Amino acid sequence: MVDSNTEYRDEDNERRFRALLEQSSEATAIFSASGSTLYISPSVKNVLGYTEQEAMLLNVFDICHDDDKEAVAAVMKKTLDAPGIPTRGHIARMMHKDGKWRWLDAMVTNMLHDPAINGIVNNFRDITERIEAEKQLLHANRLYAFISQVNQAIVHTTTVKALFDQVCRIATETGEFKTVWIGLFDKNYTTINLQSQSNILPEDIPGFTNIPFANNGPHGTILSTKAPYVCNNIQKELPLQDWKTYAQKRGYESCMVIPLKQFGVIVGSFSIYSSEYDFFNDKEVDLLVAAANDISFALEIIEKTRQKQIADEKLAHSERKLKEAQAIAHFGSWEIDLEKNVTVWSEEALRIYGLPETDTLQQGDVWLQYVHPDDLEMVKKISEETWKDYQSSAYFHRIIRKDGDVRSVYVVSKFEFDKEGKPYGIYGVIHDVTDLKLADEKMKQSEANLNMIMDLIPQYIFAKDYHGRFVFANKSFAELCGLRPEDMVTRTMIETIPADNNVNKYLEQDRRIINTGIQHIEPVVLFKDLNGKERVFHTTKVPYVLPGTNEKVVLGVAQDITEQRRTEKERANLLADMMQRNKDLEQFSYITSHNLRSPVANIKGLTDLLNTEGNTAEEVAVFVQELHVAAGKLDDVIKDLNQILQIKNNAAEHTELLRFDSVVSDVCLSISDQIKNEGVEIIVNFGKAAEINTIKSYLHSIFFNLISNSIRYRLPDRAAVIHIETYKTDDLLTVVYKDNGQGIDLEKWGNHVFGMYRKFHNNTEGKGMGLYMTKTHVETMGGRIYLESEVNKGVTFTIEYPTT
Amino acid sequence: MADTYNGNFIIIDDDPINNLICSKFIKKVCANSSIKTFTQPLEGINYVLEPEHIDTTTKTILLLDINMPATSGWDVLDTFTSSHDFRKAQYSIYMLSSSIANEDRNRANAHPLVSGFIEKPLTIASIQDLIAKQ
Repeated sequence: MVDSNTEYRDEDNERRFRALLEQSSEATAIFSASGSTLYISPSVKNVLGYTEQEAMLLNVFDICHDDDKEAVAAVMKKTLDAPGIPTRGHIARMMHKDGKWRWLDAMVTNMLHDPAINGIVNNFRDITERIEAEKQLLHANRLYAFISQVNQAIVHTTTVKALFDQVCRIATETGEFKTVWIGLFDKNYTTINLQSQSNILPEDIPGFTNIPFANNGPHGTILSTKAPYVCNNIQKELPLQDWKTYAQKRGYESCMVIPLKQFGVIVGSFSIYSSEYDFFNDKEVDLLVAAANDISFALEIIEKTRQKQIADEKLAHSERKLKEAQAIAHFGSWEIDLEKNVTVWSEEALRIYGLPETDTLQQGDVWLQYVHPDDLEMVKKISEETWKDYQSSAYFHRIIRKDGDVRSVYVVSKFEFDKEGKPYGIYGVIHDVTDLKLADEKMKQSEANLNMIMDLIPQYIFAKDYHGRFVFANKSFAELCGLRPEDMVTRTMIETIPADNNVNKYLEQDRRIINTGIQHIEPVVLFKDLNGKERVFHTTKVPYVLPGTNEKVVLGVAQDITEQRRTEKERANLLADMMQRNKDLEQFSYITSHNLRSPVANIKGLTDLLNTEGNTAEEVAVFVQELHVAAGKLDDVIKDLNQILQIKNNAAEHTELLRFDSVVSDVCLSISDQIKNEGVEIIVNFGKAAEINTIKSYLHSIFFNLISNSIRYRLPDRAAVIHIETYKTDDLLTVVYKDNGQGIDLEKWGNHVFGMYRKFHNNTEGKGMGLYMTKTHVETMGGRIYLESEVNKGVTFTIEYPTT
Repeated sequence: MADTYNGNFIIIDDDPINNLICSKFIKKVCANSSIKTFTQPLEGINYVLEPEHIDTTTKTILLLDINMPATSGWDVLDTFTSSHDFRKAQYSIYMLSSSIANEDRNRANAHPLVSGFIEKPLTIASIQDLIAKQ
């Protein structure tokens, strides 16, 4: 530096030099050791805007940035310690006259030892532009690093929350933003809810949680414009007062809010706050938008992954279900790829064939080798048929597994066609029906057995529907109708059952059973068979639902009890007969004992009297007379007994064919006087049965006793009229004898009419032997005698003889 | 004792010989007693039921045969059953029969109106036995 007072000889040179000094972008100053300015070049104006004069008055430290003062002082000291050696000065900020900081680069040389200069020479120049450029580069690098890390995070995170957390952390750590947060909108876009953040103070977080937002604020704007929102001067530009207040409190000067999208739809926001004005320049905005797009893309990826996972789970679940279902139902499936000639078998299909469950890939026609040899021809034929026109098929066949087990399977298969209608595959299901088949066969066997049994047994078994139509008839029943079982089915009763049977009655009964569902037992059903012969059935009918249908029918079992009934009846008759005979015998013994005892008692009493004293002669004569009478009575009784015993013993006596008319004539002849005297009329009709094979004396006695009684017990005011008639049926010869006399009060005497020594009328002769004898005569020949009577009207005897 | 009994006797039996025997024996034991005999049971019962034949002082002993034609001893009893109690109280009824069947004896013993069963023929001993019970 030269002293301004120093003279220069060459004025032109001087002027030229000065111009140089004035125009240079570099300035030179010479300071004293104490720091005061000794010289300053005019180009200072170019660097710091001050004139030489102004600059001369300034102290370096007056215009130095506070942050740089220390470094500048250090350089000065270093320079003082090393005279003559140029030292690179600190790049420091100095205040330009316009009030802005300028970055200055300086070269300082201590020339205090040079008396020509005697100062510290400082050459300095403005490098603000370079510094700014460097700073910008650095800033850009920071953003690239941020994006790069965000992308890393996107690759490595699997959940939205983790991604957001990472992004926020990276934004403040690497991106060097003051504060960032990510929020998601609610479904209706009325609130935004903080998801992740970095550098928001904990006490402020509630202010970001589920908060409504203004339409003209950042969030409202990104929703309406679908573009990022940038505010580089919050205090001046943000229209929201409360946010302004908050930003001031936390030192936020600019902010940017970028929409986050998922499949093109805004779902949330990425907000960045800076403590600097005008922070978000174009470059910043572009890179942040790029980062936000990456995040949006990541959201889609994550969502897609999640959806796929759900779908996969569902698929896995349904596949598992299918496997289970196949296993449970013994249903396997398979698909043949015709092009590759491979078959994919389901696990259950493999199980059915006894193959390892893992061998799901099989050769196309491998299944054929397991077909049972007896079924192979059929299977091949069906297979060929289906190939002719690509028909679907369904059929049963048997397979022999590797382990030799024979299974029955049901296979359904279907071709699959491409767009041109060419088959490219076959898929099908295979059902293991072995158990079903076995059950079916067993059922068929037992059905066959049942049918055989039903045809063997003599009982009649049938089933009829509501309309009297046979749905079943066993052999016995069909034969009863002169038909075969198959001829009975579907035909009605009227068409099948022999005429003369009351089909309507059966139908009515069947319908009642079907309607009420109550079984019915009919102990006696009279049935006319094909020959018109009456049969007796015991029938049980039950309501029954035809298997496989809902049709209600009636199932019946009938047993022919004709013979049983006949023998039962015979037995019952025999029993009744025997009981009667027994009773008769008891009566006989009672009567005989009484009638024997009676005269004996008389005799005993009279002899007792005779033995007492004080009897007059007349009395004695009476007693002896009565003794005679009593003895006579005793004799009579003994004779009667003899007669009865004789009849009973003479049953084997010779029988002969007798004409009724001749026997009755003989009787009438024997009592002709009585008949004539009493005016008895006897009317006979033996036209229907003229003869009988019996013992003559018995028949004579019967008619004698009956006619005698009719005369004896005639009504006093009426002549006796007697009708005798005979009838004949297959089994019986019947004699009906009828009079018009006093009759017998059967209500009173019913049990004793034919009793021995029974008399039903006072004041008449008769011993009470007549009807007893008659009955004995009839019964000895195997016949029966009945009596009907009404008092004062007459009596009718019916005598029946078996003809065989 | 026998001589002192002065009750009356009624005998219903279709066998006149038995009635004769009974009457004679009763007379021998109870000389003072009156004896009515009937061979027609209906006549006998009508007599018994007539009001004028009521003896209120002593019981009348009725000997009733069982085996009679048309109307048996049991039939007579049935008719008597429907009469008034005071009339029933007036009679001691004994069934008299030649029957030796237990059936008749048991039936007589079980009958509420019957005091006993006597086997024919009536004897002095059985009459004395009868009176003793009165």
